[in-house]
Amino acid sequence: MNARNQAWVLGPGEARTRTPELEPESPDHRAETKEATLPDRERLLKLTDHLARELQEGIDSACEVSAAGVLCAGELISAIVESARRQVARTAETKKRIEEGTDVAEAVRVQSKSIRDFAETVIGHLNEQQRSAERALGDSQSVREAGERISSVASAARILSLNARIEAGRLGDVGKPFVVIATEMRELVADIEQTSRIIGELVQSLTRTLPDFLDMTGRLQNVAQGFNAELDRHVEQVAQAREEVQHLVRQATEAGQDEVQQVIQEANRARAALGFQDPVQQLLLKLARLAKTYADDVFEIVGEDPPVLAEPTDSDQAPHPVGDPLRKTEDEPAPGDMMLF
Amino acid sequence: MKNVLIVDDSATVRQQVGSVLRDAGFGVVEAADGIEGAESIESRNDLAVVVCDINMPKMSGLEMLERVKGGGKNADLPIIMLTTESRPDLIERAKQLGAKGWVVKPFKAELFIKGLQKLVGSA
Repeated sequence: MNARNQAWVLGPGEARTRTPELEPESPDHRAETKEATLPDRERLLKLTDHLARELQEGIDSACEVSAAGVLCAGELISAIVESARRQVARTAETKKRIEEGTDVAEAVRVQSKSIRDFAETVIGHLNEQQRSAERALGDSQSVREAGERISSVASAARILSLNARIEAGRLGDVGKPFVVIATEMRELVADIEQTSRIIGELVQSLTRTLPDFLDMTGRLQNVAQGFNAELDRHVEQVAQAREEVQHLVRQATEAGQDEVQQVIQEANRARAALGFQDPVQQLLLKLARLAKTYADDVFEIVGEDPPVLAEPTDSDQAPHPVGDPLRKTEDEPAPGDMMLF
Repeated sequence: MKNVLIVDDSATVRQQVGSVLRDAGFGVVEAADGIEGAESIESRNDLAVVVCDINMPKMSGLEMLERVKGGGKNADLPIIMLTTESRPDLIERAKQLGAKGWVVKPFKAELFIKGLQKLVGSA
């Protein structure tokens, strides 16, 4: 409102007249009002000033509400953006840990391969030992047969030495040397039979042991081969699981990052839009337009020229002039404008 | 870091302006009326600029401007008026008292920060 109305203020205790509407009045009504007396004119001016002050207070309150709304929305948007950024950081940390875990799985797979190679070596040695045992078993059979032949030869020699002693006894003194020879021969035969018996017992013992050894070697080979097969299966499963986990991590990370980026972009757009879509600000501009219209009508009624006031704007993009928006003129600024002196 | 003193009887406005200033890297000091604002200006050495409302209890923004520019400590501190008022006579009065700028509420954050930076440089 113009400064000239500043002097007309409703004091305490003064009755308030009916508040006029903020609408232009009809021409007939204006004509009648023009014929108002001086006291009515002064009252009208006082009323106008009072309405102007109330309007100003209303605008101040509306600005506060608007500021509070913008502040709350801005804080909410900042909280959303901050939450999205924390989610990105947590996702990156989780991805890093999963990758470390898959690296450990890969190390286990490599070590499992070393264990498998060692098991293969053991199986090779067992095979060689089995072949050696089979050869020994075959040789023991030959030894047993040789021992049996020796025993039969020793039996024949014993019989021969007995006959020689008998014949030597028949010869008397002449046959005494032959008795000695036959006796020596008998002792030799006894040694041979004894040795043959020992060999036979050894062969029997070997014959009893070797099959058990062969059986155990075979079982060990089976165990080693089964172990290798299991190891191969587990290593394959670990490798597959690692592949699947890495694939899932990639998918989740990309999807999560896309969603978070989208949230951040939407939040930034909303934050930028707050200053331009404030409905309260539009209401303030509308109130300012109505106030000016009403003021013009009042001055017309009382027969005075209304002051030249700046037109309120209805766009946030205007009325910034071309060039430096920080104008250095004395024109009345619009809401949002900034002047530097 | 440059500090800005916000003088406004509305806590909401102080909070909103403070948020915009902090985002731009400025430090923020607050006062709730003209008397507190004048006392802050006269007692501190770390203020770069003052942003002040007009209509406040106890002491208005123009009265505070008059007191500060009257020759006390930090009289050269730049003061910008941030207000819903847009009357040319008030603007002229503030200019004569030594104000360096005038912003009409509701202010536009980007424009406001650019203006401050023109006045006192970056944060």
